[in-house]
Amino acid sequence: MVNPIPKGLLFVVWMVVALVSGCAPVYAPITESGSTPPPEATPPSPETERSPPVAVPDDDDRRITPSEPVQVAPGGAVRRLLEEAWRYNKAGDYDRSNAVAERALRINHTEPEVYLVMASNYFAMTRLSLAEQLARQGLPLAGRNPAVKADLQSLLARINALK
Amino acid sequence: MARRRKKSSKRVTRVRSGRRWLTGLLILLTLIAAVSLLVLDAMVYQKFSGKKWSLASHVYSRALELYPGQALARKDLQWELEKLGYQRVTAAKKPGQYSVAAERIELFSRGFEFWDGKEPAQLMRLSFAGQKIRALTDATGKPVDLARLEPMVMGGIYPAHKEDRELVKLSQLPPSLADALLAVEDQNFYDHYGVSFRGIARAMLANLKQGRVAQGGSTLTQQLVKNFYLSHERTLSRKLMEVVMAVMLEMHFSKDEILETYINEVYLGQSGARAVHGFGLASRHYFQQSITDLDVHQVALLVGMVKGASYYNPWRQPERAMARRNLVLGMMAEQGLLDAERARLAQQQPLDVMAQSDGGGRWQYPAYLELVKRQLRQDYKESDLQTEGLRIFTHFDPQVQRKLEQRMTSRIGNLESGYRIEQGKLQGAAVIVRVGAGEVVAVAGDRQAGYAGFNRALDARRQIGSTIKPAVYLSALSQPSRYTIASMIDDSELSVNLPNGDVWQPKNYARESHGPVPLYEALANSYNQATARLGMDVGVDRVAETVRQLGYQGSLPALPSLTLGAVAMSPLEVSQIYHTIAANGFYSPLRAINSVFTSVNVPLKRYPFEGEQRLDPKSMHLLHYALQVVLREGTGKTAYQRLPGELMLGGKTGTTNDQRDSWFAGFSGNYLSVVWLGRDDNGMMPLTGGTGALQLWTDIMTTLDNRSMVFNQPEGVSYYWVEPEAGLLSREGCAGARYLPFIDGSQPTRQSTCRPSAIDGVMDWLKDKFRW
Repeated sequence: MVNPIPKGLLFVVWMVVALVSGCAPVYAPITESGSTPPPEATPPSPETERSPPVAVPDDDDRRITPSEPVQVAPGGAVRRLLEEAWRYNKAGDYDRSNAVAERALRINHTEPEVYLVMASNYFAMTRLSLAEQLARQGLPLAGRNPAVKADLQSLLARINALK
Repeated sequence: MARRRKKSSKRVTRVRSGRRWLTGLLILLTLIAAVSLLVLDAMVYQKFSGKKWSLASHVYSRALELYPGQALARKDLQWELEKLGYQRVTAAKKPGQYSVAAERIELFSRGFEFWDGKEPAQLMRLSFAGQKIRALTDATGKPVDLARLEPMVMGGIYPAHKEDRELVKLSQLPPSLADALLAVEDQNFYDHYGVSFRGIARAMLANLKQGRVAQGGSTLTQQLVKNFYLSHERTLSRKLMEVVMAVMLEMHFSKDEILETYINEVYLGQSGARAVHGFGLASRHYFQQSITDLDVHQVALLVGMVKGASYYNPWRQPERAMARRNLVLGMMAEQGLLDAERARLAQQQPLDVMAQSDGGGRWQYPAYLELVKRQLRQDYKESDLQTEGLRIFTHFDPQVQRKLEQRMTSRIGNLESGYRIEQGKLQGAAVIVRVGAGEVVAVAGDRQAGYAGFNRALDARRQIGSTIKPAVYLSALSQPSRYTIASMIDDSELSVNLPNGDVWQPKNYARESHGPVPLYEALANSYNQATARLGMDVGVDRVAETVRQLGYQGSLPALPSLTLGAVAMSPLEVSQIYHTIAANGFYSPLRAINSVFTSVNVPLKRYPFEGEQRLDPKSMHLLHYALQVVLREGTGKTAYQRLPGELMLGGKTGTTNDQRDSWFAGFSGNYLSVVWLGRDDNGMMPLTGGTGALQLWTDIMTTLDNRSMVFNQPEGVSYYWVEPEAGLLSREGCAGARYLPFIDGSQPTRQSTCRPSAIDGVMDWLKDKFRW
């Protein structure tokens, strides 16, 4: 009689294989049958302005999980635009500040500080409802950025006090 | 004798009377002439000193932002530079030029005045890695965080007479242009008073010598009078009038004012129905370049064309145009405006006109332009749009539009041949929106790119079928005390007695019933019977209210069939609804226009990002979950055969009765695309939402720089392992268990008896730890 392989050993072997293979399912683009034109762009690789990576749903347990708002410092382009938007905000040129902030929003719409600067502009323009909406949009994106989160919360408190 | 004297006296009286009459007549005529001249003078003065032209409004695309890490392939940037009329050279030395070497582009951008500030012209170097900009530096190698190219003119709104021009000032022109023009057309311009008798004599002599009209004696001022005030008929009276008015013009206005007006008035070509006037627009028309960037051989061509824009058309008559250009260059050299060597080199240059007269992007995007016009008409009168020369900046993205059009044409062709649909019968429309800001970036209103007829994206109102279902499920999920994402919905057959006596019996697409199914699964698989039952339980009015909250402004039938999309909408209207869904319940009106400037670049109006949170982020999170299941496991799952698995996407298929319409509406974190396919005669097709529109949607999404949808867990939502069929809390690894989001307090309370094995427990712990 052949001795069965101990379950513990199987588990360890499985773990090693899983770790070596990267623990993540591989999604290779499959060409659809027919005459689908080849995609023009290859799947994206990491970049400075990209949203943080999210958990990959596992085909086996079919788990779709929420993405974690991980704080990534704004890329150079967004940083530059944010500085410019704050500069116009401080100068009282709120329209121009919003125009600049919208450029940042197009580059990275998950950057919470963009919502903060726009909400601050609308607050200064006494458009409280829109300021509140924007601040509320930015809040869930602030994640682990305590400074922006605190500023958004403080702004919301000031809006509520005036309402 | 006395009689004779009497006769003589009578004659004298008659002669005197005749003279008096003649004098009176002369005085009267002189007075009439004087008044006429005064009136004419006033007219000449008034037209010239007032607004000279009705100016077409020009519509611009978005400006391309350049920054390290941006998803932009080298060939895509090159395409855009070509569209903007940049000249490919070996080394970029002045604005409007670029060079390419392997995976690097060096470009000298043109400056541009934007709403938020001036973008200076600058020399920059870009290196690429794959489909991205790897590095961006200035001429000294210093990193540049961000730069912008000028936007592309993608259309115009023209006056009834279809004259178009781009006004330029004398100070903006290359110095050689005015000199060359005067050298060829009027060498004594600065010496005469509107009429040059020397010029007339010279022309007469030349014409006599040649025995035909070979030379005109008109000064530049006379030519301007003819073009600006008079008709082109060749009569003596018109010629006299031209002389008089030329003198009047010279009395009132400076030479430079007259020359500048001439440069903006002169006719220099035709583009379809649109007449190209002035050197500013002609420069764009023939060279796709700003007048300030022209080289001397290009200037000479334009100057040469003044004599006959059609006769010397460089596309139709290149040899004739070349000879004329070289003649102008020779005259410039003769008059010392150009040294002989430079003139010789310029004469050796090719014509350098752009490949074809497509005017860059000017007339290629009628579907998007129509959307811009409709949004403009909410704020401006049509007459102002046609005459005030407004500069309209939009969110139109020519790169996205190009990819959309390519995919639309090829996919529809493939579907027709693959499903044996009669060639040319299948039509399509699509709208692409930037998520969050609500900016419409591309519109296709027909399968054929650039088609200017019926715009299906805006005007084809078709039944939306199952595309409406998210509104039904959202209405239910907004009542957590009644429905959760795990609620079991009955998908058995149903009959509904309608007030008019009819019986409504909706069926599933596959004509099968599935019994009780979890709510998310009913949406993912687009079960009609479960959805109809759910919609009626929630209330048709409530579903209609949700559709309105999502942004639909039309009327909705208060009938049970509304729950299955028995309402006609355009792709643009569906885009508005799905944008609110993609933006997590934040409604913002879809915008095509960014800002409007006057003709002299004064900001007139900005169309900022606006909106309001209309739907609860908690119930939106549950809906986002279910819409992801559609693409992972449901009717949209073929999308992931060609899209990367790590990309989180949400969407919904739509198929109407007898497969007359095929819809797909879906979104990533940054792009929403809505696609409709169908026949104009509303005929049947062998396509569903999944086999038709979804395939085109996937084609489009593979070309875009997509980011995962924002799927952050809001406060008040928690995830649990549950067994939906049993309605129990469960554990990972238990049969039928699924990890689902619940609005706090709505999760099941009873625990399943299932206990995972010890090894499963370890695996759970490891999975949680490492997020497998």
